Amino acid sequence: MNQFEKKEVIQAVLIADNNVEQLRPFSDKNSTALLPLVNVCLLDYALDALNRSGIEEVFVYSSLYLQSVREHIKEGIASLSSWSVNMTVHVIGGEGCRCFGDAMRDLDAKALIRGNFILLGADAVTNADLRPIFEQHKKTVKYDKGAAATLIFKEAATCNVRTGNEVMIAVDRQNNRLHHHQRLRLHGKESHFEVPLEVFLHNSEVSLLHNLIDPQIAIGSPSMLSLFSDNFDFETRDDFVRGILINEEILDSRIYVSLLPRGQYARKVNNWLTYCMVSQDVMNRWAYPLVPDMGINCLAQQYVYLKNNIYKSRKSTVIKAALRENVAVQAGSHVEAGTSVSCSVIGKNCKIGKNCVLVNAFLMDGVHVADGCKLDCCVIGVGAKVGAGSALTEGTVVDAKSVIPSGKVLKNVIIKCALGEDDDLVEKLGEQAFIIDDKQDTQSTYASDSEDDVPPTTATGIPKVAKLPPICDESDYTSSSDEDESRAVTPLVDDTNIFLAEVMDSLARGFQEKSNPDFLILEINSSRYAYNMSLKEVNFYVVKAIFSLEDIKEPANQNVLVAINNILKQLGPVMSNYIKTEDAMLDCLRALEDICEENEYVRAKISKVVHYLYDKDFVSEDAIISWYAQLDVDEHRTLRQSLKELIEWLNQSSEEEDDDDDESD
Amino acid sequence: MKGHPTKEVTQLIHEIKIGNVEGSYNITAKTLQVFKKIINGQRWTNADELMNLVRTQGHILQSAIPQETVTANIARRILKLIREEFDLLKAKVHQFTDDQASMSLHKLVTQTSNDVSVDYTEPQQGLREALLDHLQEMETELETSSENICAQAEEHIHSSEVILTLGHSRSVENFLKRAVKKRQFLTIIIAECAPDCRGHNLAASLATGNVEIIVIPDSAIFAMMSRVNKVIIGTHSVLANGGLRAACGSYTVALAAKHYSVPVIVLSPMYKLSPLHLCSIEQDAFNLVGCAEDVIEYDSLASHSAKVYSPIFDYVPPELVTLFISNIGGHAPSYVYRLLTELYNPEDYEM
Amino acid sequence: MPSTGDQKIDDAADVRNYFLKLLEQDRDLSSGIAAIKTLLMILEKKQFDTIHILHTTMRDAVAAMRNTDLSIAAVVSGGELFCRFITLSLDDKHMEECRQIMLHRGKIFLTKLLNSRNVIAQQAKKFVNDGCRVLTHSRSRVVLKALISAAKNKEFHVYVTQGGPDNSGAQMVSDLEKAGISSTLILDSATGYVMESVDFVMVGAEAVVESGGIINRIGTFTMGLCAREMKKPFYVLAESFKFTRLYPLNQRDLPDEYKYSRKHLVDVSKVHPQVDYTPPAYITLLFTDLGILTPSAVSDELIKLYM
Repeated sequence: MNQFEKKEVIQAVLIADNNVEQLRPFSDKNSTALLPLVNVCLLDYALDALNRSGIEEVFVYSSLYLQSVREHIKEGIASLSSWSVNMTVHVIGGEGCRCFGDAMRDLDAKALIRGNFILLGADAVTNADLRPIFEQHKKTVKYDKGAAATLIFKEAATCNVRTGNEVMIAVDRQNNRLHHHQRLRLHGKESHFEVPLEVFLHNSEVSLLHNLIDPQIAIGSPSMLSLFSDNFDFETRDDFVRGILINEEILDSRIYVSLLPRGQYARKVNNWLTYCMVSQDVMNRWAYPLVPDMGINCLAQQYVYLKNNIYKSRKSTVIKAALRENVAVQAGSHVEAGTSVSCSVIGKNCKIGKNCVLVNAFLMDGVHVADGCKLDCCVIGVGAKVGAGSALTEGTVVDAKSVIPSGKVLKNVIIKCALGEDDDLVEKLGEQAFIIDDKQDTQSTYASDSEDDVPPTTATGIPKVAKLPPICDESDYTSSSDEDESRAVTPLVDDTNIFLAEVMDSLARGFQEKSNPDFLILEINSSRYAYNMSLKEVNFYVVKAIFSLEDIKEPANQNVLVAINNILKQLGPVMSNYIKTEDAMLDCLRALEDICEENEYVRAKISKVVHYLYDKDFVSEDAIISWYAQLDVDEHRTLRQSLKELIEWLNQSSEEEDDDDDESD
Repeated sequence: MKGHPTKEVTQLIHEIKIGNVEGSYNITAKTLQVFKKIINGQRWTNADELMNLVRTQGHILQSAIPQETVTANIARRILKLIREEFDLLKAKVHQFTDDQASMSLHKLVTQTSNDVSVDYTEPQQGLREALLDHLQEMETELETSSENICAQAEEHIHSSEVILTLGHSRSVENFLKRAVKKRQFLTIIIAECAPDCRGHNLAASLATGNVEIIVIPDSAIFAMMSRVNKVIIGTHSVLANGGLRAACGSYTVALAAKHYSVPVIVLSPMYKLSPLHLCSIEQDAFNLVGCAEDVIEYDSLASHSAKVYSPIFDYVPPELVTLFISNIGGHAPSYVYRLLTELYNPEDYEM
Repeated sequence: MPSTGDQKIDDAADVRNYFLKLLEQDRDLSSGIAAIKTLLMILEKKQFDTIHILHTTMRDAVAAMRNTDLSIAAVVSGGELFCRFITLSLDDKHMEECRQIMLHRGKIFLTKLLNSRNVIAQQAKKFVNDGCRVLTHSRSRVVLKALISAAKNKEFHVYVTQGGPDNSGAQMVSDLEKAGISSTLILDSATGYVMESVDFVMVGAEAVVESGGIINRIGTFTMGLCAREMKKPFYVLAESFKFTRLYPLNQRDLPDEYKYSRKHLVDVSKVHPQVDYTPPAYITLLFTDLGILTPSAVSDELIKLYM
């Protein structure tokens, strides 16, 4: 039987033209797949990686700059690039294709993919051997017919740097199935993660991994393409993953996960920051054998490898210049005396003048840098000219053929050589240099997976080349204040947990649907009897539940008082039903104590909150005073501090009342 | 010289780069086949054209993979072969003998005319057949090289000896297997040779029960050396001055052996002999630096701030080597220059 | 008719004068090549009836050249090589024909030798890298040529020792500076001090002996000892005509004519020798126009010639 089986040809799909927004201004003129990284196009890295994994047929899908990609492939085959041996590359064009989803639907329509296939972007740089993962995927598909894809991730110490590639996932350890997927925010750290409880309830061994890099490489099964065709709202890959996770039963598809072992590197270049990081990684030989001196896109070796990771072409002249470390200098380039270069890439036929300082600078072919310039963390496009004495720092990106006049100091800007239609001009520097606006709403730069985590909408620029921050911030590793608070919170026993959850659910629903408080009270009572809660506990948890409602947890405009007001307008009757006696009021205040620890907004305004409750007659003055009295001096020092004024005022007013009473007597 | 590589050469380079063909023996065998195809298949009318062809392809092979010198060595041997065959055939016709093409004082003094080189552009009958015959001989020599080296195992290893070796060399493995068959009470200490730890493979292969195998980490080499009788290592290539380009860690072994006056025996078949000189440690393409992740994980905190250097080869100077054992016998490192003149023509040293 | 004895003396004087004139005209000419040129001139000008007379004339000429005040090592080796050359090229033909053949070959021989320094420079410059530090001893024209050729696209620094009482090292330094190579003049006694900071040692040679060792300006042996102790490579640049059939076993074995100038040969106990012998164990590689050789290969070359 075996001799009749045709030798299986593994197919791969490379999506070019990703990240058009993030890699401006380069992406305005040419495909991002042809962006040179350490003097070799990104597309070549991806093709070489596929070749090394034994792939024999590759479809390159390009929509925006189809012709240039086609020409590049043709040139590569003619110059005997290493990937052209044993591998056929077809370039497929898709006009009118706006996003990843459209590309998938187009591929499905063209019906070129026969079986399982490897899917990656042209901007992935990897040295992984995909064969074992492919075999594993085939086994998974045999066992589980609904397996749509196997996603590949790499563990890395991401620490303080966010590039838009980091994800947090929940994966079942026994069968590597993906249960939860969240892309980490680009700007600012999340304060907490939310994972649906079913993930943990239905599976016995779940790992939560948050140190993963997503190089957006996947092994897809034939059903993956049809899933895209069936669901027109799948636009990006994250949509696809989320869609499958949420609609598991409807779509009957599952996603599996594979982690890259040690020695296999993978990363995606999706903005200038990752461009810088991946360039450094390639020069530091993490992606061996995809290293500059191994001649990735041609037969002969291009560079001489010297110590300190210096790659110098034999045809370049470096006169008395200090090539410090991590530098690649291509043929025909000329560096003058007194210059110091480190952690940079210099393309073909560049001219660097005297006494320049280049750190983390990425120069493409034909760049002229005049004397005395300082280039720190910047990218300079093909044929650009930088005038003498300029300083380009903090992530400046200069378009091809721009001419920067002398003596300019530029920080964190994008410079184009000519204004396009949809560029917002910020400043004109010269005839061929215009600073354009790159600020964007952060919401659009990534697909936010969880609805509740609404980040503050501040406009920031796209991530640019920057020095990586030092790894260990002390605060990450010493016990933070969060841990202290969690210790103080009263530990919940199982039943009470469930009770609390149910009450919260009912109240949340009730608040949203604006239902009759009596019905809510009925629900809470039934829960109480179901879990056999004492009166004290009920009081405690009801108040806790009310204050744990969404609107108070994350109040709009950070105005917690308004939120409390809104809620208590609706749910006030529920609360007053339970909080009648003085004991109940004490319970209420104790619950408030707990809430205080958890909720920073309430903590800030605690005295106002208590005052509000007092005004609305939820708690009496006596209750407040006795509660304050039994607050521990040391443990609740801050709390006591914030309440001091209120207590004083209460005491005063009670004295006045007494006086009044006395007087009236 | 710019030339276009043939299809077979491109295929060979690709396979070596990807790692489908690895190990000096396999690369040499494949290269020989490729050149045989070239001599057989390509069109050439005289010896000069053929030599240019071989030279171009050899140059392409060397500039694509400079560390694998065996490819260029085969090209050089074939060039010398072509010259010899041509001279032999010409001599038969013209009754004219001309010994040694190499440069020497003698040659200098007895030059008869300004034109030094023999005219290779004359077409010569029977050259192709003679060459193919010789290539067949070369293939046989290649296949039996391992056997010839092993045959000398008995002379060098005696009973109750402690032998130290490093990593996993095919020649050393066969050599030691032969010794184990013929000698008793041997102890073989194998240094694992991090980060690939191929010494473990050698240990597994030698563990027959007849011999005591000890596997040690590289850091224990100096400590164990005082108890060792002989050091037997393989090498990647032999340089023109008798020095070695061997697996990383060999220099440590050689220095430790020198300290305790332990003889160092290097097993190297003739095809590994290369007319390369080590000009400096930073010489272009002398050493290959491997993947940084072999040393430290990408996941660790240090990976972003520390520089990671994982060299694959070591240079061992000729003073530290006691004896070379090759398929044509044993010789001292100072004799290597003589072997070079017998194998290659000095004009071909620069490809 | 003047007696043959007087004629001999006249000839000797002529020979010496011609030899010295050659050296004066071209400062860069090695004394060995000048000797060969002189002998060639004699071959051309004089008439010989038999081979035997030719031999004796040559021998006398070499003896006359040895009588000068210059160091005789190169003269001796060059002369011997030329004599050997004559012996080898003899056939049983007519004298005049022989002479023409010898003249023709001699010219080719000379052209090859004149190019030898270039060949050596091409080989040696591969070993000089950007940013390296070289140590050399006194003044050697071969080393100078090699360093100048390397400096065309590399930057390096050279330490030059004074090289004895005539301070020829200073001349070397000024030649290097003229070519744009940064250099430092150091005392001979500072060799040990500076050895740890240099990358390798490169010296010329006046003669290369059969064992593979060299005869060079006094102080070379000390430099070789230091280099071996500090594990630095010791490279020797020498043209092939300097190979000589001598096999000294130690310093005393060197013949006195090599070590002292003619006038001091009477009483050597009070004079400093001008050259010393460096055994082959201290030499890493020899760069010659025959290729890069290890010391053990030198004797092979000599055997091939004189066999």
